[in-house]
Amino acid sequence: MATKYSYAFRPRKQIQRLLIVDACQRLQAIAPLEEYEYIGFGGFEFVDFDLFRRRLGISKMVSWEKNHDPSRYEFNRPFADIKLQFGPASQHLPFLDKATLRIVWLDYTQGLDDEVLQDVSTASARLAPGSLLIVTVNAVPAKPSERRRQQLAESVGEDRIPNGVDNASLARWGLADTQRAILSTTITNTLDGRGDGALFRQVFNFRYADGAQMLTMGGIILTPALIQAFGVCKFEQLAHVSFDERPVIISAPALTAKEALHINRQLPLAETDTLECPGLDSDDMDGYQRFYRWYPPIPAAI
Amino acid sequence: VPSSRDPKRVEATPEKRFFISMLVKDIELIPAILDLVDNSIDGAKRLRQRKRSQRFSGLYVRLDLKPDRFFIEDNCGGIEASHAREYAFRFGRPQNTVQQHAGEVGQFGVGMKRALFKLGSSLWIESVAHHSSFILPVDVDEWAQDLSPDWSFEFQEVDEATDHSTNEQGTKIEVTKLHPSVSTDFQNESFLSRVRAALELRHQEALQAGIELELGDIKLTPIVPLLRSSDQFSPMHIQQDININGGTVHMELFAGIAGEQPVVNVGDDDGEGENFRKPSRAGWYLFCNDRLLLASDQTQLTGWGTAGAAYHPQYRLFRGYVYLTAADSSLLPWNTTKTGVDEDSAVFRRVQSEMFDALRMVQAVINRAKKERQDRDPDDRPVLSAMTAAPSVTLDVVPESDTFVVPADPPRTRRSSTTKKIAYTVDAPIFERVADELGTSSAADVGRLTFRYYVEHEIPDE
Repeated sequence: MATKYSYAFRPRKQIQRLLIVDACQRLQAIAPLEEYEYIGFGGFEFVDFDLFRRRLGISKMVSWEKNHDPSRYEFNRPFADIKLQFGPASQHLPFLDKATLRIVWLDYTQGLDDEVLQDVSTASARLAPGSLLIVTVNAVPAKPSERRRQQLAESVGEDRIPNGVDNASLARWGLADTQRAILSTTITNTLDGRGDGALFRQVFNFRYADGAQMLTMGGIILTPALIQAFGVCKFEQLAHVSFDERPVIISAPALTAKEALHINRQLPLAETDTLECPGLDSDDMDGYQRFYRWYPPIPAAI
Repeated sequence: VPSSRDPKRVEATPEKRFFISMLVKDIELIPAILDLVDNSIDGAKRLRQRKRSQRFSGLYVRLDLKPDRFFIEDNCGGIEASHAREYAFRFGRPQNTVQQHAGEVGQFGVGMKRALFKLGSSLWIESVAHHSSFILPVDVDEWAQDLSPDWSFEFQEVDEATDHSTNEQGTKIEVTKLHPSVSTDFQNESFLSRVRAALELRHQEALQAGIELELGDIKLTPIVPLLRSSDQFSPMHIQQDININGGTVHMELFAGIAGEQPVVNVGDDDGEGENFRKPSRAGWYLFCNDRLLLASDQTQLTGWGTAGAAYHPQYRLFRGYVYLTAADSSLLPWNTTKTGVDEDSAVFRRVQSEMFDALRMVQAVINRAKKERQDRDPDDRPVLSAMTAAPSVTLDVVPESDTFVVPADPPRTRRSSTTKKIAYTVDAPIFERVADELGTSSAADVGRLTFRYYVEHEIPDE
């Protein structure tokens, strides 16, 4: 794998954002995108808000900020009409009205724990059918390796851990796989209790690591009446969706501008050819080739 | 045992003694007593079918638990001799039994006999009903020793020719030759106070409707659910019909801030008032056809999490009340002894979902109030002020709302980077005196006011 040359340039996270935004275009089949409200954790950068506004035309936007620092958030928000609400998501989720269509991205930096699961459960209970729920959590397995299962049990409770999970199975992306399964069960169980026949159809199952390993899973809350519209979305046409436990690993390397130019000139690749770039191996090449269309602009200087 | 001469016949007749031991195996003593009181309350409901306030005024149920004698007496309608003969003492209910009255609790047809067998072995049942009266003594030991296939009891007296006015009607049940463990329990103060609490909670609605329920010489009083409610601050209150197996279960849910205790130190983590003498009343209460199945539940069953999200004293103001009613009581999510929740039932899953949702909402309100108390000046605490100002009301006047009504978070101008937080420890006696002088009990307020005093007196104006 290519040696990372910058801490600030994090192409994989941005690729994931762009893949999600691309897929969200398809929600048109369920309802006009202007009807959706976007809720995210903007941070000071609001990158996702910028994309959802400019690429999808979503105008109703709310940012939940855990830290109370209104003036800095207000200064940084890219559009004046982004509503800022302070305090953790658990303060706001229970008060979401049940009628508005939403795209909610709970983009945590922490791992999967009780707090996250409660938020996910509250969101699943309240989001209107046709809404998209996305959850991102840290998926770095515990160290030392003998503590992996124990730490998971401490975070989510022993009874939530699926059968067959042990320290060995939690290695590498194993923790992320288990976290996805727990999230999926939590959402499904909550939807079962709603009484409107609501179902969850997963469309996102990303793994990436710009530094820490991260899991993003997301999907659409449907009722039987919306299943046909969901079919019209044709998410299966997109290369980077996942309807099940098989992950989409975003493996594009961090390149310099010169490397990217060099490789781009070889794309698209004829079947018999292989990409070449000095100092980069075939995994880097494969990763770049899969995701180059979403690869962000490379900063000239950091 | 009379053996049959038919060589193909295999003996499978149950022995009574075995049957009795199986019957009482799965029932605890308190539920057995509650079952008998339930029968009386069901009688009261049949007698006074119109639902109005003080519906049961003039009716009574008296219990007496002594080491050598259990006694229960009511004036709630009695049992007709024909009903006793055909149904009341049968084991199991014949399939062609008449439709029971709406909202009644009894559905398994074993309640009364099972409860009596649990208590002791000498029974005396005396009943005066509208069209009949009877006395039925049962010596259980003698009955069980009789190995004949005859399972019947025999009235000592029965009169089906005389009508009785409602004033005369009632049932008396006496059990003597109590089982040794029962006798021991009936001498135990803490057992008796558990019986009392269970009755006060379980029959709070009947008590509110005027029934006199006495345990020995103690008149029981209902525990009345109260929540804080005003225009600015109002609990969640939803009603829904849940359709299941061709029937309907009606759900009414309330969740909010306790009305029976003052709003002080919201969000404090101390365990004030939470010990065995004064158990916390916080949590969920679930009723099925007016009977309490869960009392102050603070477990995962009702949405309290594991680990970090478990019940915590900072939520001691939380109260949630769920009332499930169904004409067909078999649709309700209770277990076969009617003492707990059937966690796997579809109805309960549905109810659970609403409870979880409501709990998160109230927790968020409590957390906002807590944050205000920690971070804001006393005159800038919209949620806390609204909570404190909201009067305590009974549930029947809480308006319907699928969301908790709280003041919106006003825009803030203060920047956190310009503030500092101070924490320090002082001796309790001097703290009490300072707090008293300042007219507050909150440590945060004491800190803030003493600091302000210093600023006003010692810091020169710029």
